[in-house]
Amino acid sequence: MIRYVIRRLAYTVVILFVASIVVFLALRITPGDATNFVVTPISSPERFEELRRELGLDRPLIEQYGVFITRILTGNFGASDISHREVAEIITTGLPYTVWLALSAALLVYGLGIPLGVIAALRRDRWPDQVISASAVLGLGIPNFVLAIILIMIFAIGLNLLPVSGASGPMNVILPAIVLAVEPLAVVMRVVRSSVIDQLGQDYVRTLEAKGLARRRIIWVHVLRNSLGPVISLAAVQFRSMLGYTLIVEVIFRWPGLGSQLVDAVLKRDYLVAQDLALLLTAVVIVLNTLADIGQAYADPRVRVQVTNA
Amino acid sequence: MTGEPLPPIEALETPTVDVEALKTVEPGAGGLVITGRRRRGILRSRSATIGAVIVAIFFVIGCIGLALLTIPGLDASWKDQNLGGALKGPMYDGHILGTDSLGRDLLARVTVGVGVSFFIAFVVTIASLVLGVTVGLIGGYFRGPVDTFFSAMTDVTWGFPVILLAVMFAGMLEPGFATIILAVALLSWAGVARIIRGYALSLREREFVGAAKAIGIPSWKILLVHLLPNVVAPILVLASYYVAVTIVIEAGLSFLGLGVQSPVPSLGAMLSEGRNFIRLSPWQTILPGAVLAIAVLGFNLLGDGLRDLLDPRLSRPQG
Amino acid sequence: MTVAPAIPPMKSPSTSLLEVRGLTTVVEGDGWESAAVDDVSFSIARGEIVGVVGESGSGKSLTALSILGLVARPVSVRSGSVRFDGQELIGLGGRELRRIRGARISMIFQEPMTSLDGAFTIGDQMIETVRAHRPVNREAAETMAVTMLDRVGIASARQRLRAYPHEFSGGMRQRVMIAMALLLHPELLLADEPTTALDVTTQAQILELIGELRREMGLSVILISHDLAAVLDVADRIVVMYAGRVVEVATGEESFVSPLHPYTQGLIRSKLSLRDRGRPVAVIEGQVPGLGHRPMGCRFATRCPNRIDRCITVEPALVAATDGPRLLRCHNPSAWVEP
Repeated sequence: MIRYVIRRLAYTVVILFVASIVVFLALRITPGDATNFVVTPISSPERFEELRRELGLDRPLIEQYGVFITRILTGNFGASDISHREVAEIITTGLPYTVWLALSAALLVYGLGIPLGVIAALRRDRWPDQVISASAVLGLGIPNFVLAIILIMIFAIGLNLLPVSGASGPMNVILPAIVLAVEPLAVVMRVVRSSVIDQLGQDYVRTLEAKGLARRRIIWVHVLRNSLGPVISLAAVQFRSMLGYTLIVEVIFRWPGLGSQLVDAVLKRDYLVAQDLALLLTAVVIVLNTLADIGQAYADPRVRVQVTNA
Repeated sequence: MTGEPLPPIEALETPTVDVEALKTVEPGAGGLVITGRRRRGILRSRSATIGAVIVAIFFVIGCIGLALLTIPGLDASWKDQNLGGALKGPMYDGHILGTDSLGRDLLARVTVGVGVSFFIAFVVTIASLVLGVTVGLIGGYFRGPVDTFFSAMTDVTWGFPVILLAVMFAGMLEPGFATIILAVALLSWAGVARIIRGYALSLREREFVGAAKAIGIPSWKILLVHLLPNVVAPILVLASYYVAVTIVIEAGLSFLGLGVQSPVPSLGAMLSEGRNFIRLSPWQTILPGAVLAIAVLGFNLLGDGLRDLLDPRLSRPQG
Repeated sequence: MTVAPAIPPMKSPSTSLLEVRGLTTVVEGDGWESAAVDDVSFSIARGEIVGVVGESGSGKSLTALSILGLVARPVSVRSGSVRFDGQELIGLGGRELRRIRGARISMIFQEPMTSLDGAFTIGDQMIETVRAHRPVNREAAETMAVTMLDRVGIASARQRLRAYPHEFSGGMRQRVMIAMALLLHPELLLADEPTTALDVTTQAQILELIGELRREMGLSVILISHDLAAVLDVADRIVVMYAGRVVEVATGEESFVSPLHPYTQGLIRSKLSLRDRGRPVAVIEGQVPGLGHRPMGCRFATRCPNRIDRCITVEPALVAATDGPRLLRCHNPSAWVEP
């Protein structure tokens, strides 16, 4: 198991390295370079050259990458040329909001998705299952910014129950969290449902009954534990997709997290900030993926054996 | 919790009923296991039909939209402004679906929006499929260092949030058709490659591949003639899903202002614009939102239906 | 322990622990139902091992599951009585049944790999069993688990508590299953094909273990098997089942030395022919009639070498055979001739 974790961590470092190169190069494939965005057409050629030197763009790519990665690794992010804000400051103000939103959404996804999936499986083909499964189809079908607008119309404008946007109070997180959670929630419900149905068909369930265990314990301890493998392995995809949608959801609800900061930076052509935020968010996804993989190995001792021997 | 026995669980059904005994139950007597499944099968194929109908309708709308967009002289239909008749509901002065905040005809704009959305989604899907199938088949068939390299590339790409890269690209390049297509296609092939590689891995062990190899057919020909036709089913299913996902991503980017640029209409931008007038006149938001939702639903239903018909193991990709 | 059956026993020893009478378990479908266990009666005394034998489809496993109430839709117990130590189990509420399951009556199954929960260590699974029935702490439960694992022959039991089921061999897993079933010193063990998934040597060891434990713990065992020869050595009595019916009840020795029912004879003949090379392989032609295909007369009539006309129209009753307490369901039994 430890060998597996070490190998998986080493792989993560490699992927992080590749990701940093991708983010780095993504900016260099642009026609011209970053100076395009900073230097206005009326700037003199002297100013242009000066800026290239300032930004280190006249040096070889390798060297530029070295500067870039050192900056990131030492946490010495520097300041934006456009907004003149420290990147570190942008991150420290935005991160708590993004984490807050993400945790609220995750709470909804797993806190609701797992029990609802189990209930649908136990009441298979009866009304609880039909209601839950139909909602899952709807939840998968609706694009989340469309859902966002519908929810704003109903709860914020129509019923005036919740704030439309901003982050002024604890109520503000409710709508964006719901919007972010709906698609992964639908997926989790479906996966848990079919996984539990599958597990209920296993021999060990009969043994547990023959041992005289309470039904509650059989389902919520044994069957559930065995059903979580697919959920955990799915978590990686879900983190990735939720993180992407965070950008949109944060903008819609004017939520001051990293996602809206990134979109803002991109729209303002603030390339230094955009690059750092993009790398940070990508790194978060990659690290969470790793954790999900390791978690899956822990959850299922049989998978553990397979991956170790692989 | 009451002490009644566990609800109908196949756990208890399967082992307690002797399989041999069940096999000999007369067909007319009704199967114990089949009944539930048969009904659901019909239900699913019905959803596939609904999906196919929605997709067909939208395809026609999309073609009309692209015609309006590209044929010179027709652009007046979605471009002409009339500030006097702005933000009107349906059936206002010849505007069947009303007008937007600049008094432009919403029917024409939604039609073009669908065209834009479909065009991007189809190009991205085709590009992702070509790239993904190629990488997946080659990696899975040849194994060895080629596979290791391709798999590593796939893993790295796959871990990237699509919207994140698209946003970055839109910022660095000029936002527009090409940028979106490039950004999304550059990432979404990885999902295809992972799945197709799985197929290739199992296909290469099959007898007909072994036989083809034994009589000296070159590898490229085995890939094209023997492997490719066997992954057509998953390709069709994936295609439906990827069109759906790409439509959502495109609309999301346009919503952020990083998609197709004004004055070319796109559903996402129309949503975002309508949002500014949402208290005053919600129709301008509801219309593109509904169109988008139905289009995505159509492709998802079609994908679900095809999957159940062709290959139930496949799972739906996420943005 | 109280040894006092509250009901007058039928033809069984007066100390009978379990008394099954007229047990009928049906399988229901859309507009049809069929009795997979049909009016089955037998009893088991304290410390007795009863072998229940028959081909698959005979209803033997379902009988055991019905005793413990472990059947669910579309299978249900339709009628009959199961008296355990004087207490009626049929119709008992879930809470009361759970108090008996695993504590006073335990069950082990054919495939110990899939019958154990692969996600938990065997220690967790054993401790959980103890604590479902006894108000003891983890340490005490662990000690009980170690003692029992030790007893069934698991080396370094305390360390093995932390192992997962997949880390054991097939035979060891079945030993773990047995240890888990016997943790609370039940009075009755239902063993459903406990050795079928194992190789021959291991099979013998497991059966021997069950025999030893019976002597030590005064355990009664219902040993279900499709293999008559395998259970002959350990079983005191043999109940032969065919297509949901009991067709013959005899002591282990009688069933082997002088089987009366043509079906039992067929089972023994085919077993002997497999054991001794050079003899032509004897098989019972055909297979157990399915749930929807039960003949109106004797259910074995379609495959019976002794069939007479009456067998096709009238089902024979289970009656005392001429010699002793044996029971037989046959119109035309013939004396056993050793092949």
